[in-house]
Amino acid sequence: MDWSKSKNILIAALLVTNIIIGWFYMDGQWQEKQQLSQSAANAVAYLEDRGLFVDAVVPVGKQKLPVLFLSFLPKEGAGIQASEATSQYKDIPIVAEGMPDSVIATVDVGQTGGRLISASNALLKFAGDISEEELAGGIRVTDIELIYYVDRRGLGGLSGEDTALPTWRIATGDGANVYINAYEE
Amino acid sequence: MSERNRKHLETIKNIALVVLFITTILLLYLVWSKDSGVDFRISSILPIGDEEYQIPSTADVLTADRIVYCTGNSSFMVDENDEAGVYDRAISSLRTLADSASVLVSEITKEQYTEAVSGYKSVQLVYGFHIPFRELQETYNIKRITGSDAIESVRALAFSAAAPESIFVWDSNAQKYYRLLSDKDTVSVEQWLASLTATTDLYYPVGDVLGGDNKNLMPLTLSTNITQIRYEDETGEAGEKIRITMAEALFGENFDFVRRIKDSFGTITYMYGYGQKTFTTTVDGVFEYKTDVSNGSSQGFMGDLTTAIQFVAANGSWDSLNGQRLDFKLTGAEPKTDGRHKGYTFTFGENINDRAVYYTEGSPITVDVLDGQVSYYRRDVVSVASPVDDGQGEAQLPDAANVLALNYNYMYKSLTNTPLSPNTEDAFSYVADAITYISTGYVRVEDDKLLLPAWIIETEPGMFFYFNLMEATPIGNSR
Repeated sequence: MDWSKSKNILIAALLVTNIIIGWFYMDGQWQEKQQLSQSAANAVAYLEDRGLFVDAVVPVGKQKLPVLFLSFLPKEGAGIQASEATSQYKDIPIVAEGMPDSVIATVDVGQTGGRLISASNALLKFAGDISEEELAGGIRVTDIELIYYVDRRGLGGLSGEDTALPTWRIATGDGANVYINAYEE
Repeated sequence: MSERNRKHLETIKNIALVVLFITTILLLYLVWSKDSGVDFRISSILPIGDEEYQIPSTADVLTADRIVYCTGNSSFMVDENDEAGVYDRAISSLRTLADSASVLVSEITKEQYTEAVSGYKSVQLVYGFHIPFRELQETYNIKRITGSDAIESVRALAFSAAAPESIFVWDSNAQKYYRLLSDKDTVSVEQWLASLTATTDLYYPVGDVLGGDNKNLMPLTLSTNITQIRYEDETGEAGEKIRITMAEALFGENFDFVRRIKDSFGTITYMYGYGQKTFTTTVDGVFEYKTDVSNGSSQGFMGDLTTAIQFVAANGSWDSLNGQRLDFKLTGAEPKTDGRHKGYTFTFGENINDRAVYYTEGSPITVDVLDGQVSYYRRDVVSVASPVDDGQGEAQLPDAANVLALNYNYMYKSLTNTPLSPNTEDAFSYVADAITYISTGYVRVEDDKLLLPAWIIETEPGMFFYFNLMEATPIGNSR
């Protein structure tokens, strides 16, 4: 058997296979991006029809993220300001609400990444929780951003441990923030 | 081409082949994982965590609270552990009776029932809960008895030498008594009594000992070698590993995305969604699980009990979590509803050295089953660390009547929620009338991590008083 010739054929076959699979993958990515852009545009148009006006750029793209395990200590210790989004994981801000006198001491990453809903889906969820009367008055969305969020209001204590989940933070024209769990159900 | 160049070219080809092969696999993985929408988990492929676990049968936990033998002269013997094996024989007798050609079911009065079990040699199986009679028949494959539909539930089954062709039923839910009369003898109470050798302490009606009409039983004296036991929470040193294992079992594939909260006391709460499912563990080794239930249909007493037993086996164990063999039995079963869903709350008690362990708060295991789904599970189980030698060995205890004489004021105040007692005689009579049973067992003292030997005095309305076994001083009470 001519091994050298066989190798040439195998290399050529694998090369063609990789090009085809790669092309499928890239095409899929591109189509998904187009689809998400289209969905976002449709969602914005639909929401504006209902009285919810989006004055912000709606992020496009889907990703998988794990949870973050945070530990808190009273403020005098070194660490990250907990009540503000000064800590980040993969450029995503971490917000711990209800802990103004504590700092985030450690951040541990969960084992598995979970699929997230798109920003336009989060907007639709947000609109679904608003009554027709409120929408009739007109509501403006000024920003929508993916953050890691944990709400510790009412739990008390300056120290302890908690879990921050990927969350879509929707800022409205009246200065309020609404948080939508970003994990797919 | 020179030989050297050819070799060089072949090496490059080999490397290119390996790189292309790996690239193909990676590209396939990317395409597949993107399109399938499914995450691979090694644990879902390999049989990790799928170990077999022991599931007791409903019959294993559905035993009578106590078996009461009447010797025929107004004295009784009580066996809380069925050492004579009467329980199986009683069920077998019920089956024999149901198979008879003719069975007559008739309601009788409380007096007739009391006469049958107190005036003659008799055996009474007293449950700590109500079992729907129809489901009892189905569970033990007992032929349905015509006319038995009137019997809603069973609190006690009784067999009397006065009527060997009959079985008596106490339905405490409806406060009714029944006689199931067959056309032939079904039991030989004398034989059952003859096989009873282990239990020798005698019990008498409370009214006979303390005065009054109370027909419930109390011992005059008891001898015992029961000693203190030092206990530990069931997780022992492997607490964290066990906690995580239980949480993984309860949350399944969602475990990686649940919120984990730890407070400054060390209590850890796992929460899924907006509290649809929570699991809390404390540093004392108490586990508590709550979940919303979806619409379904109630499975009845036995169906719900089976669900509860299987759930505990799959999420914890019917032994201690550190592997110690434990002995549980059903101590309570109360119908429960949240308005939309129906089911039962089951409580399971723990026996150590054949003695029941009593808690001043809660039970070792509590499970709520609504519409056939477990909605609540609490586990607060203790396991033996070491017996404590108090140097007393086999000891003669103070008389039960003396325990009452020393403590009736305390009991009266607790029962009536009044700080002042009426005159001595009235308070004593009130307490004597309220007694439903007196026995001995262990009481958990959490501060000292001790199981103390104690007098257990049960009273109406479902209250338990605990007194130190030797000194007869109050330890506490519970409802």
